[in-house]
Amino acid sequence: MTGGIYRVVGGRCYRGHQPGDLFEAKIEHRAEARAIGRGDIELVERIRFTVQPGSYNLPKGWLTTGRVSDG
Amino acid sequence: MKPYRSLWFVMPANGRFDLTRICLEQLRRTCDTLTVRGIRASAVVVTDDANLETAADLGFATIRRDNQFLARKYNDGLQLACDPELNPSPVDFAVPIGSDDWIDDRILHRLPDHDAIRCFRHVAFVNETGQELSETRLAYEGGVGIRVYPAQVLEACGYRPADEDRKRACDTSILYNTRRHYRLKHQKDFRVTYGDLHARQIVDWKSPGEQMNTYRQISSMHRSVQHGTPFDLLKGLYPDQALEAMREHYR
Repeated sequence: MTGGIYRVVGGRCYRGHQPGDLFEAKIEHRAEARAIGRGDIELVERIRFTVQPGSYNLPKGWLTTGRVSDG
Repeated sequence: MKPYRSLWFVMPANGRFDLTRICLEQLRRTCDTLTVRGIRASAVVVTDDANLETAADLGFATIRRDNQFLARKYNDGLQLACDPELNPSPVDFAVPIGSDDWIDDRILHRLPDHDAIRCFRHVAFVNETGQELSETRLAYEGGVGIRVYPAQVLEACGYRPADEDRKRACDTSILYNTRRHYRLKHQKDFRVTYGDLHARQIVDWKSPGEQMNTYRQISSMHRSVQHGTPFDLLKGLYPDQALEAMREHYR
């Protein structure tokens, strides 16, 4: 899921973030364009939100069984 | 042979180690009961503290994620549950749940169709001292934040429905954004169905300090009916072992 790192550049809060703050968010493209056009935020970097590699483990045994008999 | 239907609970956790352990142990029992009934169930716990070890010891999935944004923890869990790029055996259903909640497994025996979500309106809250239980019916759409989402419904938003920078109201963010993306993809809404069985089908155990909404706030916001000792009221609905552990927690 694509999002971005944004900086609040206007003189007012944006989505709860203070002027000058950097924040990461997914903002719908048209809303993002409007906010940038208004001078509320600027896009610092495009990022993809996802579970970080190496940060997770599946449940014990999750991949070993997955079917049940009809009987 | 027929395939199991599979389901994960998605639980962000933060601190409250004793309460979380008791709730995770009860969730283990819930998952085991569901699995016996043909719904292969487990959970993923998302945190960066000692709750990770508790979750792993109980056989649950874990994700290490800091506590800066609660929404990101929910999104991580939902994505790991459902996204075949991460999980070689992705689930059919994901259910966000709090680290202070119990759920009667019987409300999950009927699961929604692929174009519907299943919600619940009735929830019981136990106050911060463990001495009072109140029953509440949440009248607004979607009811309790514990909702059953088919993976096919979550697919439209890349399995990460919540606004990534939210620190609260994540259940509403999940519901609204899932709907928005589903509508864009399918040109129609998913159906919202309800599966309530009884007033204490979901129990939310309050603890002093570290929580979003206090018992008093909830009681004043919604029409709640106060009752007596939770341990008597919940007897027979939840295992004695779980109730005894919780009684000890509040002592």
